Amino acid sequence: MNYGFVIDNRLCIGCHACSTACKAENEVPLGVNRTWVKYVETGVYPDTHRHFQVTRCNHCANPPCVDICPVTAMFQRADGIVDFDGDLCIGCKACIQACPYDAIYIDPESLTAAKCHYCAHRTEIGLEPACVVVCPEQAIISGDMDDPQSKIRQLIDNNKVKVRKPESGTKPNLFYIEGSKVTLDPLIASELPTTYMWSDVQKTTPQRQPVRTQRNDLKNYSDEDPVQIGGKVAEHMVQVSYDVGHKKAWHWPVAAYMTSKAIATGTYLMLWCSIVLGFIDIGGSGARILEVIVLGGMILTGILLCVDLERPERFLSVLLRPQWRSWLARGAYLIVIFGGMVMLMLTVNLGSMLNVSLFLNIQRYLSQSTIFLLWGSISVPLAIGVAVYTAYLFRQAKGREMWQAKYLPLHMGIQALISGSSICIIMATVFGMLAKSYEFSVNVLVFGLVISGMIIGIEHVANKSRSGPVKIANQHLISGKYKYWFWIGVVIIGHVFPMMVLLIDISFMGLLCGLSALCGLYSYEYSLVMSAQDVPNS
Amino acid sequence: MSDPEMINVQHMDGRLSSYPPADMWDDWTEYDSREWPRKHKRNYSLVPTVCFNCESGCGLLAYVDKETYEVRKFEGNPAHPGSRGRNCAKGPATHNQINDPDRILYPLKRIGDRGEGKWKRVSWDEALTDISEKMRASRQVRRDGIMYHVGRPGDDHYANRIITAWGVDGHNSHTNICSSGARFGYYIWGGFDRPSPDHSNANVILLLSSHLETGHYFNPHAQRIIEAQMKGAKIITLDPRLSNTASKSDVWLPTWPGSEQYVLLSIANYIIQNELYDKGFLYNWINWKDTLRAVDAGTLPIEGVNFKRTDEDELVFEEFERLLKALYSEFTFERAAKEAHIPINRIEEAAKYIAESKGKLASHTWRSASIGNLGGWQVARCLFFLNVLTGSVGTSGGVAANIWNKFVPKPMSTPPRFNAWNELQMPQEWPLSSYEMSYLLPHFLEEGRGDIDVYFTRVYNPVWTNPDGFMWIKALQDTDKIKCYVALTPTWNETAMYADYVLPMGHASERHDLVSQETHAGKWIAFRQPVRRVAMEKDGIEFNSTMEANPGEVWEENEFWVELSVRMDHDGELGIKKWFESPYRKGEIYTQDEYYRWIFENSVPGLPEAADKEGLTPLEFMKKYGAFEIMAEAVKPFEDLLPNDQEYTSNDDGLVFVDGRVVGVEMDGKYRKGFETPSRKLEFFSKTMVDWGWDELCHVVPWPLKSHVHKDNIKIDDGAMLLLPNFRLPTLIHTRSANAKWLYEISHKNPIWMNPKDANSRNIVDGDLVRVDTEIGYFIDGAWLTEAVKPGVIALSHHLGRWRQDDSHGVSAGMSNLVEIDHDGDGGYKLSVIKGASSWESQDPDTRRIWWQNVGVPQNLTHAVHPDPISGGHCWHQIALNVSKAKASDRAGDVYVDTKRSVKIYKDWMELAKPAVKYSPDGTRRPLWFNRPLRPVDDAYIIRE
Repeated sequence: MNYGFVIDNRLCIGCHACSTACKAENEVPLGVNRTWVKYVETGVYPDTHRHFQVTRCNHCANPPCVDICPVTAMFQRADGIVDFDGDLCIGCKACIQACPYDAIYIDPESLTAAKCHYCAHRTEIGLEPACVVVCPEQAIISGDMDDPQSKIRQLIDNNKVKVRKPESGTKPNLFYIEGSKVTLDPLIASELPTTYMWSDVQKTTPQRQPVRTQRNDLKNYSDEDPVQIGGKVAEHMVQVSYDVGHKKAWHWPVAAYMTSKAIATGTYLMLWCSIVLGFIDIGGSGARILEVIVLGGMILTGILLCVDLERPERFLSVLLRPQWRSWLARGAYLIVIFGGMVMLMLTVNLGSMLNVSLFLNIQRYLSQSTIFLLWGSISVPLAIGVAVYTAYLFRQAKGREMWQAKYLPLHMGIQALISGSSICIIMATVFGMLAKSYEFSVNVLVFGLVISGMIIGIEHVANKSRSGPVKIANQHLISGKYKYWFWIGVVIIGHVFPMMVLLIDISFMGLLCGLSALCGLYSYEYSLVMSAQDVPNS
Repeated sequence: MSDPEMINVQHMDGRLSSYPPADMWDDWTEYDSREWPRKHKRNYSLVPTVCFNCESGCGLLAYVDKETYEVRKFEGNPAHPGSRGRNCAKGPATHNQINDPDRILYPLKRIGDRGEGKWKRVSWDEALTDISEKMRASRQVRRDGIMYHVGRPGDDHYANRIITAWGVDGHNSHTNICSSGARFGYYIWGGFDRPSPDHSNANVILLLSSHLETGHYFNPHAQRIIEAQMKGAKIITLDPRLSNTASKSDVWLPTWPGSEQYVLLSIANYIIQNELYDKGFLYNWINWKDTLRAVDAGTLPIEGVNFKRTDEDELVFEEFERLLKALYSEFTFERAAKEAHIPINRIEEAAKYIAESKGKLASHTWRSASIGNLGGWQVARCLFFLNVLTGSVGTSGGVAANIWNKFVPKPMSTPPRFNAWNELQMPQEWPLSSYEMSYLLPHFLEEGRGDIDVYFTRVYNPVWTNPDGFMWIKALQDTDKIKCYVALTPTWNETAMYADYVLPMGHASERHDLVSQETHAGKWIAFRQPVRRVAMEKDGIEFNSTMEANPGEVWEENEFWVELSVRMDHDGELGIKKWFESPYRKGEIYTQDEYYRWIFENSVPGLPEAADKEGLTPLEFMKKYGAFEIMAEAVKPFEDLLPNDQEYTSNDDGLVFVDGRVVGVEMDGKYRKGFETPSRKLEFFSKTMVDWGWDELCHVVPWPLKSHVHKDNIKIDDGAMLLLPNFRLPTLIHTRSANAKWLYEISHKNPIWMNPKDANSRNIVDGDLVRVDTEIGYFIDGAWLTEAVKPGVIALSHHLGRWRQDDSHGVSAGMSNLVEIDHDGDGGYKLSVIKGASSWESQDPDTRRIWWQNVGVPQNLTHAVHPDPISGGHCWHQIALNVSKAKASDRAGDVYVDTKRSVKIYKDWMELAKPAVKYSPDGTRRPLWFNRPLRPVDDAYIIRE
């Protein structure tokens, strides 16, 4: 049993019956949609066409939303339907980032993820999905694609069919007969419209960035809808005349969590390096303060993670019923274990400082070199794991091409070092502590900034050859709506200014450079999170 | 409640079912979608009814929760032969309408001045007593004092029977702003006023309409049009804008409005010159002999046409063929391409397809060009000419008359025709008018032609819908002219604001009606029922009135009319009450069940037998299935032989009589029914036109008439353009789709579609506000630049731009502009937008989530009335005198109108008419063979001093 959809564009008349039937069947609130009909107009009068495309979840054979979901709220049924369970969903919105098709939204009533689920509650009792039933043209065909006798199987076998974004590797189970590139490709037109043909452009739609009347050369698309006038491809209109909006799923809390996590893990790494290199006394107050910062950073990280959940009260589900392929679940465990170790360490060390005998004994035990090394060989890799796992989470976010960047794991490790060294430098300049490690910290910071700068240069500025979505996201970043975040925040505040720490050796310069590097880091995380979401997926 | 058993209805071969089988409709359990994947069961009673969101009459199946009796959703009714279980976007959205948080729940009576917006709740009893007494008083002294003005009837005979029972000439309609152009064009051919194309079986589908997205009958037609296209049929569409239909067509002809006749006649000419027409059909069924006689008599003026009769004594068909060739030779493809401003090769392509349609040409026009243009009725006539030429009349794949595919059953008794003629409805200036001159009512009142004692509107919102809406406001505010105004409506609208009584009536699933539409080659009836009432009755709950099952004190028209009529004639003195007696309980007033039971038992052929097969009574059958198919094939009743049970006589012209009445035509020695025309044939040449003063060639045969928006009349160089207002969207329907949130979310504004060429020359870019000056004022709206509209034409749908004047009463905040209307005391009216759509708090959490602001502009306010002198239709197309970037002070949605100018234009157009008083050939107001929606006795047709 393998359920799929065929949408026969030969039949579709763009009437929106499927859209309202779905709203009725599934009580879908205003502002969000499980299925909609996108309109794209092409050509030049009188050779004009309007293309319709019923657009929705593809019930992928390899559903990235299922892989990324930390709590199995998104799941693939044995019959191929990708379904969801609102009772389990914690509202992390990772599935929205994972879906390359804009198919998932947060339901404003339940505050949990929702999407087309093939009307599984109907197929369960032998009924077709509501959109299939209502369609005046029977242009939406549902059925078992494994059954060679089924209408859907025969349509797929006997017609040229297309899927949306075949390159994404998701193996969509929704096939378009006479699928048109102008509707399949979300990037067909690239300017923001001011209106659609009979509706406003949804304002909660920062993510959509296509389209308006434009007379361009067709460029790559001439094979699909050529407008032949006088023997050559003429000037051409490609404009989206109707589409729906999609809210951005992640905002500043995600950038803030990435920053606080970098600070915590980076500081921990700096602490251990400094102890091993002998710059810091393991029993000294400097080490305690850094430990406090690490723990504080981890607690803040946890709080920010929960803040960003639509259902924060369900945060424990991630730990209690983890879906192990999800880097969100894996990351949560990394955070909890690492955070727990830090807390234990700090408790013991602080307790010892207060001469509590129990803690003194533990500390004595832990101070044995073998135990000390064992502790380090567990906690340091954990810290690195906590620092870089987000890069792998981002890789699971298949809907955000920009986050698939090759050097992202390395970059996140480097960002931790930048943060940690900045903290050490700030401590040194403000409190005059950690003086011995100052120079080491400066070296680490400069090293980190240079590598980070190179990665940013490669990934975002010099990146010419990458795919369309990455190019558009980078345009948003470098010359679009995040250009100030990028050039002032990331480049100047985040990288150029902190370099001054090398040149000018005055008091408080270290503080300024350290703070500046941290601000730059937040700027980078923020603009990275946001600009990737500004690329339309539908 | 016991835990219901879940039944899987998957087919044996693995296919999923579309619907629960009808046997399970009384008790159907499925899982709650919101609770899923938790398996929460909900138990429903599935009750069929009929959609009311357009005229198609598609089937709906209401899922009524057996625990709460709330309607959970509407799906299609698989037993409905027209819609076949499928619906458009508007079908499911019926759920929005019944759950509309802003709907009117109780009868309201005005307490301030008309239009002041002050209301008090009254009881139905108080309203009924007051209104019925006023009606009684009026009826006692006159038969033209009560007027029922209906937009979308929804029923086929019920209200008409009521008005007839009142004995007044009181039916007024919306038709002359809608379809009267097309109706006239068809009527003058064949005595029927609507086409019924058999799209499914067509070889060529020729549309002057957008039936893949809108219109009568959108969903049923769209199904069958695409079905045919998949089987190889070619779709040809004439439309100056790229409708969705045009985009799906094989040939799009973006004709300049008003040039359609040239294109159609060039195709006709191609068929004629190449003798590709159906000779046999023309020979038998066209009035070619009359035509040749008219040439002889000089009533067919052919000066300048290269044709001479060879022998005036002989009527030879070949001579008629020669005449056709001579007459139409001037309609070349070149000329058509020039008039229409379209590529000639597209016309040639279309002509070839049509010429080869082999009697399977399905064509359709309803509004579009036929109501857009002065003389638009000739568009329909020229279009049907192609059906006549190709023999595609009543054939499988051709076009039938609506009456052959529509079934209006007889009720248990029919009140006699009245002897009255209401000059406010059918004034003598437009004797040939298809329907009533409804949209001119405020002008007639302004001129002092009369007054109205009791004025009802139902599904009618003339202030917003009709042209020249400020004239309506003026008329409605005059309590001397309209003495009592009763608005029957489920929802607030712009007109109801001026009513004395606002009486809440049920939506599609909250009332009774019987519907039949000519959706295809077949015949069906469908039963609209109040679904909650029916579901509860099934469970043994008894009702006296549908009101008890509806929200608040929302009633239904059918029961209301009965109660009102009986009160009006409480003592039976007026002879009205007797028509409301039950056929089953002597002396008692009928119930709705009794009324329809009688019809189903006695008037619908085949229904009692079909019901019997299932062990049901006919009424039970209709309640269960909601629809019944009477016939499922193409028919040619004009070929039918007259029944043998009467004595016939015939004359030399082949006309067959009974008692001096023409009833048929003689053909090959047989008496056939023929068409409902004076000649009993399809009238290529119309003597009626000559008789009533329209004696030029362009009137008497299919011929172009120069539109008021002909290119000659539009000063393009001065910035003028053609404004095309009369198109709909797939999701909206006139005044009724307001407050349907799912529909409004998809479509809520009507920006000006403008070709980038026209925009560039005006420095207009996407989203700019544009000011459009019309003959009587201006409106402000945003621009939508697109290659999908013909250069020189701006198009904006007039199905948007709703307004409210205060937040407590009126169209919902999410679907209307909040406006202020100022009158300068000298005919000038300004409608200023205070704010656009906004979210609001209600029991429906969705109203908080309204995310759109722009809800369009009510452009119809700025349209002057354009009564066609012949069909009487309002010629919708407008000359936009100037189209320019708006001024800084203009706001989207603003409107200004000078009603002094609108009165002048009304008078200018009236000048074009040929009044009966002057032109009637026989002292009648109207040709006797011309019907009226409610026909009075023949005597009433005679003009009296």
